[in-house]
Amino acid sequence: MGMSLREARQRILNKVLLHPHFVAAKRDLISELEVSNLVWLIGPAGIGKGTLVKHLVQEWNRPAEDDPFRVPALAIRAPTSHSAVYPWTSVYRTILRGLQDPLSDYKVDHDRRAERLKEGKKMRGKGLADDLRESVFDAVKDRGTEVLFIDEAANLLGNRRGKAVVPQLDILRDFVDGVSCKVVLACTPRILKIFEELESDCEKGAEEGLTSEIARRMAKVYFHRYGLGEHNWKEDVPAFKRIVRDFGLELPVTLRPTFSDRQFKHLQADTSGCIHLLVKRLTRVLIMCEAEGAERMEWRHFENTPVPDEEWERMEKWCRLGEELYARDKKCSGVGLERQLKLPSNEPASAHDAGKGGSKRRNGRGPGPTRVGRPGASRPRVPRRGK
Amino acid sequence: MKQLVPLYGCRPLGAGTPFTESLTSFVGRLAIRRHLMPSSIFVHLVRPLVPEGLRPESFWRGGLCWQNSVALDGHYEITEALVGALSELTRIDDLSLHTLLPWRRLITGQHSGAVYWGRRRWCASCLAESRERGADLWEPLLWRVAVVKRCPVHRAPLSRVCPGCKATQGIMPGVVPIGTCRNCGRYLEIGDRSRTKSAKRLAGSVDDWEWQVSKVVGRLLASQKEMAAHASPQGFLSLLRGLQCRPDVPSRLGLSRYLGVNPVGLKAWLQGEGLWAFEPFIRACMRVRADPLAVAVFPHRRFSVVEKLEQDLFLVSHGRPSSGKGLKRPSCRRWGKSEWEQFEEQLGRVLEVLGTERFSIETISNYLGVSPSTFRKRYPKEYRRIKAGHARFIKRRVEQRPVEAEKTMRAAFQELIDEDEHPRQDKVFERAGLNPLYAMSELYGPIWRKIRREYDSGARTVDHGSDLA
Repeated sequence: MGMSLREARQRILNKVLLHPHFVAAKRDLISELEVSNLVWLIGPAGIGKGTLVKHLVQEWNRPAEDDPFRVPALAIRAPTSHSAVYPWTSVYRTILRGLQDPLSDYKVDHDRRAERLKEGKKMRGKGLADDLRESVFDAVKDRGTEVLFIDEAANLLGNRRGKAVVPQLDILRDFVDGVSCKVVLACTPRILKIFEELESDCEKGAEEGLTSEIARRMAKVYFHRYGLGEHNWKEDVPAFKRIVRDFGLELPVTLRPTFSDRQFKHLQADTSGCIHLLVKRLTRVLIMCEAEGAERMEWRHFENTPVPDEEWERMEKWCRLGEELYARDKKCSGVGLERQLKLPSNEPASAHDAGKGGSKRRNGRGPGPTRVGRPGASRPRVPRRGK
Repeated sequence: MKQLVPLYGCRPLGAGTPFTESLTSFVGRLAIRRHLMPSSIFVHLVRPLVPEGLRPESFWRGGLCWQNSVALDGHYEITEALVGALSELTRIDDLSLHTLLPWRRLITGQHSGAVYWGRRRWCASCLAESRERGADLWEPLLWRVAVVKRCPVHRAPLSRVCPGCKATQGIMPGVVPIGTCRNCGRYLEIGDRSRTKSAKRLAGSVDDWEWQVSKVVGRLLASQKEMAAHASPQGFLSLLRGLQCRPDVPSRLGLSRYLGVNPVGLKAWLQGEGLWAFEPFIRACMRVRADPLAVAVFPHRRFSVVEKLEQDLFLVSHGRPSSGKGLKRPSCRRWGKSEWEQFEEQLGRVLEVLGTERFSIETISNYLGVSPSTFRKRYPKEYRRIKAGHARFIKRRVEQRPVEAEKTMRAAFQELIDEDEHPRQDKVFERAGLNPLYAMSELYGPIWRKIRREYDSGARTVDHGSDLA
């Protein structure tokens, strides 16, 4: 007998679909990692940054599967904090736990203790941030870790803005300097906003050295969503259709959705072109089918499981803002995607790409604006059932 | 999720050398590498893996005091359990070679104070050299053995207090980095006045005795694998019984005085009861100039008449008491006619079985229980025959020795070059089965320099089997 709906749901949730934007982001990330120690992977919420990170970690850890000493790649999630001082200790502890380093609450720094003894000072307690940071450095070195992914990296800067971000960036810079592996920070476009604010503060004269140093050393990779038909990338619509069809292959034959073009377009708009949101939507529909005991998946199921307007608007706002900021940012790479999607030649090349002159950027296709509709566009109307 | 090794990034050092790292030192380094206190490792990681019956509360509560570190480096049941737990946590198999567990069948389970030194000791010169080279610092098991008082390389006495603050050091490193005072944080070798002494200056003194003992213990520690496989008290028993079988049959008291051991203990040993205390074992071996390693790992087997005679003679030949501690030999009573008849009979047997060349006149006369001068007066013909025969034998051996040494050294040198390894002196000596401590001796020094010169002069390959003959 065929699979149950519960199994189908699980399969959809576990599926890693190597769709074009995913592949492009992966390639860009790998190529940036070859030249830079610190890479920001930026993309709207639900686009699949986490999935990409998980996929890369799995891929890089595969050769060392039987080695009980090595962890070539590690992914962690930066904890959120509402306190005035960001808890870096919990970041370090999360890394140590990921590397299965024992007793993270009991860490001490012996060299520092010896120094304090020489100065005639008393020993300090255990598990302090300095001790933990040093033990993270050693653990990363001894485990042979080559790449460290930190998801939700915007959390590392806390709830700060402008100049208040600088101390956090300072700690981050020290961490990247000390750790003997590449660091990938995955976060939403919110980080671009923070950097923009920081830059505007610096232009007024504050902490110029620091920001210029950070800006010089970090690379950014933008993970694009699938836009609507009105923007420049016309390949997005068929690509999105293929993705929905590929997810449908995980379902029993009777349940595979058959939508009209309009319905596809609506689904794309409703999920803001983000794959993770699409998966969420599909699973919700499956739950509804399961509850109803439906034998076929129909459009009405999608109609009855809408994304709340507020959530959609917030998502859309961040997507648009991120893409605008990305387009303005001269440091972003994102070139592989444009090349793959064969942007029209009238797309203006960015000054950064023109100046770079590298082989992959020599095609003159810079990162173009990837908006969903026009700025401030309203949500598309839900098409009628059966059309 | 795959299960990773919890304690990683560090391996025990110096295995197979006299400076085999002690398990205490390894745990200390491991703790430093993982940014932990050694007590945290014990209480949180090792403790759950040790069987219930073997972990009294006091053991864990006491932190890592002397008793616990003895348990870690020692030869006890708890050592075995701790080694098992640490092997599981580090996935390193041969950790028992960094304890005295291989000696378990040889040394007694009591009087741990007689086997282990209670506080940390170190050779300042060794620490300074390692730090200068930028090499990892570690504490050898040798420094833990109570009978060792001097460094076998530098011949300097082992230091016991920090030269800065004069504080003794707790046995467990890892609270601060190795080679650092845990009281004031200074390097332990800076300002230390104990200096290397030349072998010439040491000769004939108590210090010489201590140095010799250190070397012997070093050799035993370098052969931990063999010790683990073959160590047995039977070799030592054979040695003692052989000494007891001499024609003059010294009393047990005389033998115990001669060996410098407790007569009660000696009785127990000869009757095959009880195990050896470590220091008397070394002392007895040193008295009779027998190789403690050979004695300790001699496999238990029945000797044929010739082998036993040879062994006895060999041991007696090395049986001169050292000049340092000067123990007197047991006195012999005046012999009657029957003893001289027995002597003649035994002399005839020795000459028949072994010939006149193998052993010196002193050895044979000692074995037969007379002084060489008495032997010469009573049996001048046999005396001259043995003396001339042994002189020929010695001459041949002396002539052959450098030739054989050069041959083996060249072969080892060539092997290393063939394997694309740098032919370092210690490696060549190790490969050739020669003691690297004697690398610059009168015998080996010129040979080594000659081979090295040939290599440096551009040939880059050593002619194997040159015009040695």
